[in-house]
Amino acid sequence: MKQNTIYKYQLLDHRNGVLIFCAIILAIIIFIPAQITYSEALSKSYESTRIAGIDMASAVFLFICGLVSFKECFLFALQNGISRKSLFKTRLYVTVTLAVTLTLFSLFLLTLGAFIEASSTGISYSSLLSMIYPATGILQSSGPFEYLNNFLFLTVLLTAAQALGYLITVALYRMNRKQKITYIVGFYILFFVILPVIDMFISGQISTILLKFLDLSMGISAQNPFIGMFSLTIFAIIVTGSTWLLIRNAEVKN
Amino acid sequence: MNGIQINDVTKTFGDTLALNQVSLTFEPHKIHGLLGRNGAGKSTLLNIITNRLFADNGTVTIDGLSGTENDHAQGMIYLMSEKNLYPESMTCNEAFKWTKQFFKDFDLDYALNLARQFKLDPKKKIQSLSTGYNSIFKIITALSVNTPYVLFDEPVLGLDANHREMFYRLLIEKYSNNPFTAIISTHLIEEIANLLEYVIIIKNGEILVNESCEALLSKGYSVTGTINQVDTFVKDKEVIGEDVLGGLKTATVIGSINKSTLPDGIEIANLDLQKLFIKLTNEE
Repeated sequence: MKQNTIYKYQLLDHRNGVLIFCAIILAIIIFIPAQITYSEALSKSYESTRIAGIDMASAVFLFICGLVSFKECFLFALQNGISRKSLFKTRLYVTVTLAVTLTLFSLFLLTLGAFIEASSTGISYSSLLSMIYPATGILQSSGPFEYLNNFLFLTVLLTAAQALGYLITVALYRMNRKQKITYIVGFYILFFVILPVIDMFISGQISTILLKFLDLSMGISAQNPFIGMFSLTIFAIIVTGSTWLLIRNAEVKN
Repeated sequence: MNGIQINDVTKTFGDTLALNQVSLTFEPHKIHGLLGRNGAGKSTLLNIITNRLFADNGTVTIDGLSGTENDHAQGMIYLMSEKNLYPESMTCNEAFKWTKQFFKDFDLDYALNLARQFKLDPKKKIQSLSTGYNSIFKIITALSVNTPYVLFDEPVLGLDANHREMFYRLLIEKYSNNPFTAIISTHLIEEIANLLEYVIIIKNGEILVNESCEALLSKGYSVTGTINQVDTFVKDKEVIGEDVLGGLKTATVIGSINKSTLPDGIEIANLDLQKLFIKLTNEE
C-alpha cells in the first residue's frame, strides 16, 4: 500500500508539469500551420516549412523532470516510513510511466503531423526517429511499423533522459558543498574549455572520435534504429544502477 | 510487542563520535524522556531508529523486526522531527491527506479538530508557517497518526506556554485513551518531568541514565526552609542544587532521608529532575 502511495505521489508531482508541457507543444503544432495558413507572406513560402524532431523537447523536458525529482521526494518518503529501496523501485515505475505517456503523446503528434501535412499542402512533419534514420526502409512507410518503432525508440530515449537527470540530482544530493562546486565548475571547465581547446590543437580528433562513437552507438551510419535503442537501453541500465548505488546509502542531511 | 531495541549502535560524522555503542530498549506502552545536552546524540539516535540515518555499527529492531530499510517496521513508527521533511509547497491539509494514505490509522477528523483547537489554518502552506505553527502542524500529525511508536524530537520548539500546555494535555489524553509508546526528546525537562515514566539521559553519545522516572527520582529529595535551617540540615549531605528566594532556601540533595530525623520547619519534596539532569550532565 505504501509503495502505491509513494508511486502516486511521485507521479502527481509531475502531473502539472506534464500537462503544461503537452499544452505548449500542442499549441505550437497547431499555431504554426494556422499562422502559415493565415499569413499571406508565409503562405507564399510554405514549401520551406518543416516541423521536425519536436520529440526531442520531450526528452529535454523529462531530463529536467528527473533533475528535480529527488530531494523533496526522498525526504517525504523517509518521513512516511518508506525505505530507499521502495522509493527507488517506485521511481523506476514513475520513469517508465512518464516515458510511455510522453511517447504516446508524441505518437499523437505524429498522427496530427500527418494530418497537417495532408491538409496544409506543404507543411511537413517528421519525428525525431525519421530525422535520425531517414533511410530506414521500415520508417519510410507509414503505418503500424512506423508507430511501433517510434514507440520503442522514444520510450527508451525518454527513459534514459529521465534516468540521467535523476542520477545527476542524486549525485549532487550526496555531495557536500565543496564537492558540488568542484563538480559543477569542473564539468563546465572540462567540457566547454579544456576539451575544445585540446581538440583545436589536435585538429579535431577528440570531436571526431566522439562523433564516431555517437554514430556507431546510435547506428546512424547503419541507419538501424535498433542499435540506437540497444545502446540507449544499456546507457539507461548503467545510469540507473549507478543511481541505486548512490541512493542506498543516502541519509537525511542537516 | 517487544518495543524498540537498540543494540550496540555507533555513529560517527567525520571525526565526531555522535553515538558510542549505545544499547537500550524502549519498552512498549510507556512514555520515555530522551534527555541530553545539545549535541549529545539524541536526534541522531531518533534518526537512526527511523531509518533516516544509518548506524556505522549495531542494530535497531522494532517489535523484533529490523528497522533498517524495512517498510513494515517503519510503518509502526512516526518521528516528529525538528527538521521539516514535508515538501514546502504542500499545504497542511494535503500533508494530512497524504499521511492518511501512508498510515492507515491516521485520524483525519481528529487532526482537523486539533488544527481548530490550535487555531492552525490547514489551508496554509507548510513553508509559510511560523516556527511555532510548524511545530504545531507536526504535533498534530504525530498525535493523529496512531502508530504504536511515536517519537517527538523537540516537539515544543517555538511554542508559547499555552500551546505547550495544550500539547502536554493532549498527549496525556491520547495516551490514556489508547496507550502507545512515546519517546520525547526535549530540553524543557521541568515541563515534561511529570509525564515521563522512563528517563534516558544521553551524554557525549553514551547512555548515562536509563531507568524509570520513579526510581531515578527516589535517589534524592528537595528540602525547603529558612536559609539557616537548610544550611544546617544539608551540611554533611551531597547537594546538587540550591535556590534562594527571600528568606527561603531550597536544596536538592542526593541520598535517602529518614523522615523521623527531619527538623521542624523543613519541608521535603521529590527530587527535581532538571537539577539532577544538570548535575549529571555537567560532571566531567
